[in-house]
Amino acid sequence: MSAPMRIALVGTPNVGKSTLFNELTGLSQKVGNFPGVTVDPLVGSISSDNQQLELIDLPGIYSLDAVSEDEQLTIDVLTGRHKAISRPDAVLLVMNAQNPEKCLVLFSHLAQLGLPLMVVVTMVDSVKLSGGVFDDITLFHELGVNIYPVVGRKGLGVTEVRMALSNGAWKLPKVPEIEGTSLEDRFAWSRAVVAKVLISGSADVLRTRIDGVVLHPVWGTLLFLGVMAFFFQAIFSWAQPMMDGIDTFIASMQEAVEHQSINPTLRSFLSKGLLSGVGSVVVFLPQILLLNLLVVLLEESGYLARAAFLVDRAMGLFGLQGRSFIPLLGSFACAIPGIMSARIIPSYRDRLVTIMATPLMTCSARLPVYALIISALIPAGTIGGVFSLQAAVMAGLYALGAISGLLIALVLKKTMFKGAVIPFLIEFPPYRAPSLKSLWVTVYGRTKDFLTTAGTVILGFSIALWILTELPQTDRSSAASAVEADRVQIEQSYAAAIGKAIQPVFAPLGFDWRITLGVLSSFTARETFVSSMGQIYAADVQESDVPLRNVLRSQYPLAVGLSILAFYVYALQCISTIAIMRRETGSWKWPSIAFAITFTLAYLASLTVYIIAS
Amino acid sequence: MNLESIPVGEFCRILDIQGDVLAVRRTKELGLVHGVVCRVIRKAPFHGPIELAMTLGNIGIRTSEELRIEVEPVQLQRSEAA
Repeated sequence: MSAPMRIALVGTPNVGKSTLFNELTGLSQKVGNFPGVTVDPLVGSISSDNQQLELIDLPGIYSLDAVSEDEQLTIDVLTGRHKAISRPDAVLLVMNAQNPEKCLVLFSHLAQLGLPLMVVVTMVDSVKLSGGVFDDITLFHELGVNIYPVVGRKGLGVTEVRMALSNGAWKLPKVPEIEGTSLEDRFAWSRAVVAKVLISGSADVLRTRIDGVVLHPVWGTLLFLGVMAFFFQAIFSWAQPMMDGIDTFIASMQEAVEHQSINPTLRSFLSKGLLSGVGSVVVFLPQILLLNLLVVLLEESGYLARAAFLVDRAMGLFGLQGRSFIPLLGSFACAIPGIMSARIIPSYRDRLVTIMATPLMTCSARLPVYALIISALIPAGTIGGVFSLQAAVMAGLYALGAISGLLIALVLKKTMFKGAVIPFLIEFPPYRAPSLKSLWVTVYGRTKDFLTTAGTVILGFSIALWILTELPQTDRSSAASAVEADRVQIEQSYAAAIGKAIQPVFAPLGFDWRITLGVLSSFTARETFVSSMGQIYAADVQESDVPLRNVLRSQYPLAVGLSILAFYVYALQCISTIAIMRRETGSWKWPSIAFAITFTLAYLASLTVYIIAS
Repeated sequence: MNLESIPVGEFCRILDIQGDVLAVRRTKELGLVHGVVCRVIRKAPFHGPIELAMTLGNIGIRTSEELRIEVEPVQLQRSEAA
């Protein structure tokens, strides 16, 4: 069979391009995986009797002059200048029937490319519903290419488009006769065409009414807080039972392996390396599914643009944009889904700045560490007889993380990402019910993408950590008890050797080699710190029958506790976050920079706290 | 006069857009070109973004040092408005 025909799916933002792409290609789509791109375009295939087609979903553009890196990618592909993605054979342009002016201006640019073209017009139903008329025959005569009206959300007309694509209904567009080359001239031509093909119906009164509430300074803000509370509740609490279920399932598998009479090293690898590695990937799935589901719903329904309008001023103080709010909020549950949701930010630079700030938001994996250290080393007194000192410290840690993250964003925006400031500019899309198929295809695609890209890195790291903490294997039979054997194992491991070797680095922070080991081992997930400390002090805990926190209290002064807390606020010690950062930014550069910045901050913060407190 | 000084509910005509080259171009690409008449729908508090209604579709925009929009007020009957 000959090479597939390659078609670029192009359109201005908010025309329903993604929905159409999902309807056309369904589950056949996959992440493009092109080297050196700032955004991975999705590629889907369509097969018919006589031809194999490949559809590539490119970031939205308004013209052939880019404003962001994402748009540059689309333009480079269309003009044949992209290094990794070869020029497509044809262009499928998506146009919004309700608001075709900008789409026609884009057409006037695309017509000069010399590529065969076809136009799909979305939201024709909305025009009809409001009593308007959209004349696709006249449009065909004006543009010289075939026009296909669809209702993407309901899948109407999609079959016709698919047939047209493979039957070669391609035509070279008529190059519009525009006097002058300015945008004003192009808009004048576009408006003249719109006047011929569109009779707008009555104004959307319902939308105006909804906007009156949703964008109201008081009611809109309250609604926004409500939506965000719901959003946070969903990923923070509702995902928990599913995550617990996964943990229990993995634990039972590990249990089963532990009882197999096989080589002890192999057994340890299967149970503590492979299974717990797989577990630490799969455990993210509930949050990723829920968050992606909610983000797509917010985006497709048209609410996200309104929310961005409301919070833009506040986020602007830190050099971020309105949409940065979602990834930052999501990161309070977990930075992995949080960073994934940064895809809603259309500009690469803004996306990067937001991603760099997310790991500083206090994620749920830090909670067990904070809880252990606070209960062990912070006195149980009250401030002014009302507020618990321990609770105040906890709240302080949350605030410190959030403020530091936002300040990092601000500094990055003023230094590394200086220039090319695009102020807030947004189109308000109409409110609409999302397409269920599109929703499912997107969530499925992103989840699969997480498993295959970030998931494999996380698994690899987990196995590397197993090698460090469980090898060389000690002779368990000589130990007095299982607990004692665990303690000996971790104390004899490579990680312990490394912990002891690099302990001098951490000595100024008040960390002994045990804490250093706990910190190192918690790279798989921060909460591992608790179980590692538990393992190290297991013997003490069992002998004296007191909780771990009491053992820690007898071992370490307050200054060390504060130092550990300060370290965990800043340090990016989570391999999963590093893996997803690598995935979403396209290189190891940004996770490395983030790691360097946060490690420096963590070290300095701990050092300062330790010196002051002791 | 500049866009911010147009009260909510009033109409104005775009005369000139100045500032960062990219910001100016994007503003125009969204349809806010010279001569266009639009209506100020609402302003977010604390000098936040401004929502503008044009003939087809609404946009949100935040003016700043990088994006200054010069307009002239227009008296329109409601029936003429989009």
